[in-house]
Amino acid sequence: MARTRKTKEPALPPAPAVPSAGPLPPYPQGRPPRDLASTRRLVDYVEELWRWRWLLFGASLLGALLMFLYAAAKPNVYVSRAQLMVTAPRGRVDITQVLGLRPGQTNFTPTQEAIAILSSRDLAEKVVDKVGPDELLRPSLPSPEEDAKLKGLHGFLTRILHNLQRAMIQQRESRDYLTRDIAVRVFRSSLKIYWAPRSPSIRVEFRSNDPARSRKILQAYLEEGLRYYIECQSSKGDDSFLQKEVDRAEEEFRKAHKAFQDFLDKYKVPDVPAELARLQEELARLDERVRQERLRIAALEKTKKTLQENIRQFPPFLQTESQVTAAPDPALQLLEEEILRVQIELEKERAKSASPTGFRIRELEKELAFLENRKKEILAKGPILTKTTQNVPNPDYETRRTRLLEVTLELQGLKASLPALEKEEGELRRRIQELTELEPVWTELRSRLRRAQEQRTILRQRVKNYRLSRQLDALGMSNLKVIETPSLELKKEGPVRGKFILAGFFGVLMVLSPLLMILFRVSTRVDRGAQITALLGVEVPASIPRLRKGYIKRFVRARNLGWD
Amino acid sequence: MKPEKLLLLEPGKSQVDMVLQDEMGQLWAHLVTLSEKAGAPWKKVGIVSSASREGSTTTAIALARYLVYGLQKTACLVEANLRRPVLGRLLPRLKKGPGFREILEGTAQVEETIYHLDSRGLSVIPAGREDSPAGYPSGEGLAKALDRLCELHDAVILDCPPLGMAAESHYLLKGVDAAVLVVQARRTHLETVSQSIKTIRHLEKPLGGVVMNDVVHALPGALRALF
Repeated sequence: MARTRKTKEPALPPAPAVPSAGPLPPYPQGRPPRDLASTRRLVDYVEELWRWRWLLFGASLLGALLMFLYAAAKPNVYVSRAQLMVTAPRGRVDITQVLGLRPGQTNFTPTQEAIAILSSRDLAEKVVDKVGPDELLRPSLPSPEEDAKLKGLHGFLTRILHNLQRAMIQQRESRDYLTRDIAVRVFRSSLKIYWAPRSPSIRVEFRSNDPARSRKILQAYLEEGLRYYIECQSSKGDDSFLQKEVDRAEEEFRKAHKAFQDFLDKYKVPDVPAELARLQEELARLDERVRQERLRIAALEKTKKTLQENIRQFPPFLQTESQVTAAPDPALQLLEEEILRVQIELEKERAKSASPTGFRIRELEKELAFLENRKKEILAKGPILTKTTQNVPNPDYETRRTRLLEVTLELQGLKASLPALEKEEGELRRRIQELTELEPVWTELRSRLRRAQEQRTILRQRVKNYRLSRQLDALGMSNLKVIETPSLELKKEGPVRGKFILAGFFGVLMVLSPLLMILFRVSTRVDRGAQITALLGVEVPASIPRLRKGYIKRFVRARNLGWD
Repeated sequence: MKPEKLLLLEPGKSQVDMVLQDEMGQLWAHLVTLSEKAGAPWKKVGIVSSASREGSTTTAIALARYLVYGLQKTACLVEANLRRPVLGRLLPRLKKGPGFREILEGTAQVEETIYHLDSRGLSVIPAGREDSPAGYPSGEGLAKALDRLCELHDAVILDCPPLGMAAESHYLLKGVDAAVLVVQARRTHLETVSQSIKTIRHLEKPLGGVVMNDVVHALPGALRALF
């Protein structure tokens, strides 16, 4: 291949001069920062975390300590292990060939089939029925007396934890119809099945707080598992086990239905929550009515009091003048009596005295003359006229009296009706209280009924499916063997506690660190001079370190190395 | 370290003094460059901060010390922050005599208020009588006093009260040639700094730069080098 020499291209004419756009921007390498957060670098975040290192470390240690205490108070867990082996069926027809699939196109290996059976809910229910729900749910906690012997912080925390667990168990036991389901759930959560791809062995583990129980339940599981495996794989298997389940579900449904019907017969309330809502509405209306009546009574009481005070200002009758009559003047009567007395005394004096012109006689005559003059004066004035009056009913008084009467009557009526309303209200409240107490029972009974109904439907469906699948299963069976009987490792699960402690430590760290980062990111405080230069365009020619020994040394080092 | 204690440091003997000399050298060089561009030397420099306790006194003392001990000039440090005088705490004799307040009130001559701290040319004018800063005089009296101080010294450094807190700092900044804003790291908000810069520009005074105070490099050097 001949090489071609590159010819020199003619020089291009010089580019036209571009006018200068002024000084270079402070961030020529990229977009200038628009806010404080965009000026922050990774090292700033690291530095921020470093500043708060003691808080982070302290809080994480505290979290680890709390989790350690929690883990220490948890009861021990004991694991029982067993191993199974699946051998390939002899002379079994390969389903892939029947279905026309290429090898490797299907995943149905005997081990996987066995695992599907071993981990099924049906098997779990069989095991629970065999060992009994109590065996699984019976608390493996020490007695409260044994707990009381534990001392110190560990003892205190253990007692709290155990009391909580006892309370939970007690609550669970109160719903006896759910016990079996809970036991199945507990069994399935405590059971672990391990296998490796393309390996015929299956390892089974069961965890429990009681070592003896752990082994017993695992043994029962293996026995039932093998039996169920045979049932499932056998083309001649019957559906009697499923039928038992259906019967059990039917029985449970009958019981639930009867319990619910008994409740309805006893209390005559088909829907307690709806009835409760209706009664509460009624109570609210009644409450409002009682409140209105009380307000009305209070208002009437006030009106009555005002009227009573007001009515006193008006006399019941008004007096009118009717006749004018002359009445004897009482002063004239007295004067006449006095004149008589003086005349008698004068007569007595004249009879006694020898001289008719004695001093005493003169005095009496003068007095008599004065009294006579006085009498004449009074008589000259004429008789005294007296007026007689007549009582007329006062209209103001009457109006108020009528109003008062009305108010009093209304008040009496209201006061008479209020106790009846209050009584009605009280009865309503009592009924609501009764229904409120009944509501959880009703809810529980209804949910039990629904659950039983659902369970019955599911099981009926399962029987149908099973019968169908049995008709289809005609390809032979594989073999399942127990190659390692249930063992027991009598030791606490140490790694779990270690995980708790690690989770406590790193959990707190994982929460606090991002929180600090977020707070730092949203902070608007200036950290470095470069931020002012970048955002405000002002030079920061000098910096002063914190005037303490360690800080100055680091400042000098940073300045010498050119760190900002 | 309290800012007023910087005054008593032996020049060139401690690491603190050396660091401050270096940093103030940078600041002064920057100010000289700007003043040359402006066409007239800046002799009166106001050191101001946005809020109190952000380091304006520290910066003013450090700058005055640099001018005297680093450049062998004569400098006068004026404690113009009458709200929070600190020099009197260091030297009780400064409390007794007249100070900047008396100059402003016209009851003392400039020469009477100057205290020479050493023979190398560092002098201070304390705040004077402790009283309310209300009725802060401005105008000709202040301008005359500052001119007289410029005649007597190579440079006059004014430690001004905070911009955001005291109105008198506005009057003071009107009398100086340039202002230097002090910002405390990790304390002052960017918005506050921006506001202070706007205020200085509004007073039509050149901003000689910003000094970051209380800078902390918390991360150890080995860890810092990784990033």
